Amino acid sequence: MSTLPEVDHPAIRRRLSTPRLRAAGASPLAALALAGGLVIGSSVVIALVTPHVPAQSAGMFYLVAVLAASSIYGVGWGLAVSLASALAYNFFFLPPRHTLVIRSSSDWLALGVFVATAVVTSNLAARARRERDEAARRAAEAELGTRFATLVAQTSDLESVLPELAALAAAALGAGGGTLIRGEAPPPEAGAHVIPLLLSGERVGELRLTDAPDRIEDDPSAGRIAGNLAGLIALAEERERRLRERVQTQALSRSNELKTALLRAVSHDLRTPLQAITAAAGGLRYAGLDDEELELVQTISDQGANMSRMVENLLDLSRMQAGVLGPTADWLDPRELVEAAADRCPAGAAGRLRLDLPHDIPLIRADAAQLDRVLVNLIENALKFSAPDAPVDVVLDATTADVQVSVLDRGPGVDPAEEADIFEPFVRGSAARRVNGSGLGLAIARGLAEANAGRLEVAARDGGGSTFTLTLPRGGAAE
Amino acid sequence: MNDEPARNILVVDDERPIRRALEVTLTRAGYRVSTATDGSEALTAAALDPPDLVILDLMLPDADGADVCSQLRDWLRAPILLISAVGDEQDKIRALDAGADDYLTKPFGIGELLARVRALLRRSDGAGAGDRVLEAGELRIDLPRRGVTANGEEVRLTPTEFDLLKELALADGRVLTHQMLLRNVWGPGYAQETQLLRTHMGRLRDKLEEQGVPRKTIETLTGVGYRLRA
Repeated sequence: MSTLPEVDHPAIRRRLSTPRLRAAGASPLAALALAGGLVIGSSVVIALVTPHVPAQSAGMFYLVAVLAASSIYGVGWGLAVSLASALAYNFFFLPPRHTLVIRSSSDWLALGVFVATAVVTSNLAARARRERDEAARRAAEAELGTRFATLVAQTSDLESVLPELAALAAAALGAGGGTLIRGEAPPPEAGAHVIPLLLSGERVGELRLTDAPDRIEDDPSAGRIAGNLAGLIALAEERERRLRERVQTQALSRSNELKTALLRAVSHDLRTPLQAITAAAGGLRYAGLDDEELELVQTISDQGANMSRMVENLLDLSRMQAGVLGPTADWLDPRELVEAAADRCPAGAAGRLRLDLPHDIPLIRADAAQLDRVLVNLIENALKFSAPDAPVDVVLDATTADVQVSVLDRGPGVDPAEEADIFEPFVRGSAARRVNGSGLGLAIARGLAEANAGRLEVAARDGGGSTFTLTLPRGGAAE
Repeated sequence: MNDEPARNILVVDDERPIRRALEVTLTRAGYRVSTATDGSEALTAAALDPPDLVILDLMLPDADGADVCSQLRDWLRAPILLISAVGDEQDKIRALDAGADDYLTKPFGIGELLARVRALLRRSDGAGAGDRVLEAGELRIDLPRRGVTANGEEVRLTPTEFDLLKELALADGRVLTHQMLLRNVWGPGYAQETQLLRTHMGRLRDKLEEQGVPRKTIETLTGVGYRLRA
């Protein structure tokens, strides 16, 4: 009793320690005294009743002693009491009395029956005792497990409840003290008993006990308690990991919201003056100006529009680099997308565009506005880099996995050495230097394509010019 | 202009330079113009002097453009033309669903603005309302008979394709968002079934094209909706 630490859980302490106390507290002297007392007591009772009951039957009173001894001290003491009882029975009650001699065969029979009954009784009683002990132990373990689980469930910091878990486990196993160590553990101090915490055969930590009973490592209870702790620790660690992930995700989304809001504010501030310039210049066209004045007004309008495009491109690039493009996927008809993009090209270019749009192209899932920007960009590029009267082909095609839009021009083509570079921001191919532009269009187009789970590639075209191909998966981008 | 009283246009924009540019230009083009700088001022101005057309910037300091639209729509029949920035698709769609008729994306040219204003005013004169036979370019849509002809030839449409075309024709050049079309043609539970809309729209255009009607008669407003070009 004194080896139990001060754990405030009397129910567990009582129930787990009950079997252990009985076994450990049975000093041989006390057992001997009780066994002797039982045999003597039984003999006295029989002596008192023999005047009224035949001696052969009265011998059964010894069975009470056998039953008591074996259920308290186990089968060994039960057998010892059986033997002592047989001798006492013979000595005191079977004629000739006060000798260990037996004359009558019926007395031999009575003694034999007694011994056999005593042995069976003692075995049965001992087994009942073992089963009762085991049941009590299991119930106590279950209660301990519930207590562990409650502690772990109620905390958000596993580390803080480890000492309490260890103390409970140590108390239950009759140890003076306990420590729980997660993961890799330093070598144990001298005299410590180490019980590994195993989860599916993998060591997730250990329970160290001090002042523990010998061979506690081999106690099946210790193994089960360790298994229980291993499971709970793994569960709590998983929960902590998820919590950390959620916190990180929330932080990320807050920072993305902030970036989006900032970019929105910046774009509003950049666009508003441009819109005012464009609108004011537009208004002047109705002011009755002469041709030269109108030409200047037209320059203001056109350059305002150019500037707007550049601002949009820079904003797109910033959104891409901030990682806040956030496509909104919807079902789209690729034919419709290409037609709409072609429709918005400069009026004079309409005759140069040749669309090849088969009827059996499947729908795709992507962000309509973003793909529209990719297509407009590619078509405008193709028109810009080709001779003023050269046709530009837009071809739609579908394979089992993808839908492809190819834009084919007869321009100067892309130098193979520059094929990778032209998709980098602010990089312009050698052929592009003759033409106006910022070097952002293709970088943005590729960024938008990739944000929608697509690819954008360039290849040389047979007979001169380039083919830009936008490839999109049939299933579309994951939400 | 002429002897008719000038049409009244309410311009709602919080940026003074833009408001002034529009005011001067529209006045020179012959309209009577009133202005408002935010949502609540717009509602007051519209109540005091009911406009024939409202030009509304989607991004106002005090209110959500869609809310202003739906509050105006409670009692005002005049068309609403939205002005929005690139990338404001979702706001634009909400405002169109709330009753706006059309939109322009910044930066827009004045010529484009005047063309939209003329088209919206012409339609709001209400000639089309109550017609039993609608016409759009080469198309004649006979509502009671549920028949469509293109250049005099019968176009064989399924009931869904007919309903789709009818909705577009009844809108009379107004923008219809994907959700509006899905709700009106398929039913309120179908507002998210864009797959249906894409597929049937593709087939409708194919059939019209076979009869010599250009595919872009039904204009695609990418990411927003559709409009029938008159």
